[in-house]
Amino acid sequence: MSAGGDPTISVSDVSKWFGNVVAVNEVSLQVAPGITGLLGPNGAGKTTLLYMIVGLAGCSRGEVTVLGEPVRDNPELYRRLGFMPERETVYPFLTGRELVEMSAKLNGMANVSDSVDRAIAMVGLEDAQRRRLGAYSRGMRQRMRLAAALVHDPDVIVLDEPLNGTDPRQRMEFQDSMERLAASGKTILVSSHILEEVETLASRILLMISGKLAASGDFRAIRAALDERAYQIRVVASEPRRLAASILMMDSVDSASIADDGSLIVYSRNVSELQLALPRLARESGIRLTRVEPMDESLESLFEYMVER
Amino acid sequence: MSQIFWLTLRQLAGVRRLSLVGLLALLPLGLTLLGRLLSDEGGSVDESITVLVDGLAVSAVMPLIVMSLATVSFGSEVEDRTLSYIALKPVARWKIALAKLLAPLALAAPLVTVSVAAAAYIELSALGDGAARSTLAVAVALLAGVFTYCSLFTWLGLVTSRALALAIVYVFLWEGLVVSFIGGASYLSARGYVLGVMYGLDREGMEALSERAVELPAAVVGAVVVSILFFGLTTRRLKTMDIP
Repeated sequence: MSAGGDPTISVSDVSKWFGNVVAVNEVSLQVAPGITGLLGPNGAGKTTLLYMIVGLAGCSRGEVTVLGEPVRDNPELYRRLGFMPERETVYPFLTGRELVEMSAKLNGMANVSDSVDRAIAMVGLEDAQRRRLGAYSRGMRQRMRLAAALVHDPDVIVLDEPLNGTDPRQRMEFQDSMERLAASGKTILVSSHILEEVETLASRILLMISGKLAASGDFRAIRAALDERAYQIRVVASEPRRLAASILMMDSVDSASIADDGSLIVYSRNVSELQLALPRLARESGIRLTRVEPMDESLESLFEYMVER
Repeated sequence: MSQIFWLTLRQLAGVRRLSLVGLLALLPLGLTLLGRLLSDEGGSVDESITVLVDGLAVSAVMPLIVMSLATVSFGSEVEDRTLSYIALKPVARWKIALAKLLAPLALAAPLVTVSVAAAAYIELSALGDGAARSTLAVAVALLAGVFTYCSLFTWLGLVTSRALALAIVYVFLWEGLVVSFIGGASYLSARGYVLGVMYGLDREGMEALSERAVELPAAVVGAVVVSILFFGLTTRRLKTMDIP
């Protein structure tokens, strides 16, 4: 459960399968107002879960409710829901402003022009609003799609990989916008496959891997749990066995082994200390270091570790 | 709903697509005018009705134009995955389906009706005062046909990514071959309904269709039922499908 007030999104024992492939497997979670990050590697089932949460896809089993109502085939509820899908496809013949206007009108807004102006100003695209979307850069399309998703001031905002294609400055602006919306009581669920992206954005996270909810709760607690694990580092050196003997003397090294290709695989809980010590040890032993690289920094391995625990 | 209608109209109104359907629409009129230029005497009225109206307009031009527009009405959004922009809005599903049905209808109906009716008027001028009545019967029947095909092909564009190929197979296999050789099949055929309405509205002028046309009430009921049925199926599909 993602706490922080009464839950606005409730997912109960939800599964989704396509033929023999299980995309989401018996997931139960709740999301409360504030920013919640849905984190997981590509193919973990995040997008499928988000599609079920907004009602675009049906559940093979289980139920999703948003603001206390079943979301599937409930168009009236969409007035209070804003969704930005991951895919960047847009109607290329529309201008940016026309896309946002269309969203506002279809949501039945009374004062369309002011709302559209506000939404476009929020994403900083006032100067480009009259240009066709087909001529936009990837980042501009992302931002205008975000404006279209938020123009009707929804209570629940679901964003699938919203930071794809954005630069660092845009990410900071996006973060500011989301924090303002969260402070006003909105429920924001943001998916990402990049750990650092979610770390700066959401204090509460839901971790998905292989269609299952692997962990949920406070980001710092999960991050601390992740830091307990031993990382694998590959070291290519002129004399790996002699280097291994020296390295094993270090407290921060759990174990070391020689791989089939002759490289040295080091398991360490304190990578930064190892990084500082390695060149010194090599120099003192007269060993030439060719390469030092992490083997498992990918999210997949971190998530797998979480699932195993 | 008007938002979705105009959006769809702009989707359909690409230069290449409009050029293609425009050329197709001009085919009956162009061939008629060419025939008149090459020969001072036109063919018999019965021959004109059989070849121009049934053989060319009803069996080929009308369904080809409608399928090239209606299958794209939902099809392009399903293919490029933009359907969620309208599906995730507080708009009743039947209104979305109706807007998606009316957009290709608004383009196809004038294109098909004006060109074929003009060609028919030239060919049927030998009927004298009856030419206007026969032309009106052709126009009304074509409108019914366009509506029926629009409903069918709009649904097809929503349920499969191979809608155009299936529509071509359906039109030439069922509407063309089967209906031509099996009399009773006309009762389950858009072409049969079109010919039925034509003949029912102008029995005298459309005598050449007497053996192929179903009765007027059957044609009207058939066209209405098929149109409503596929409109309903489109609405239902929108409610139950996983939007890509």
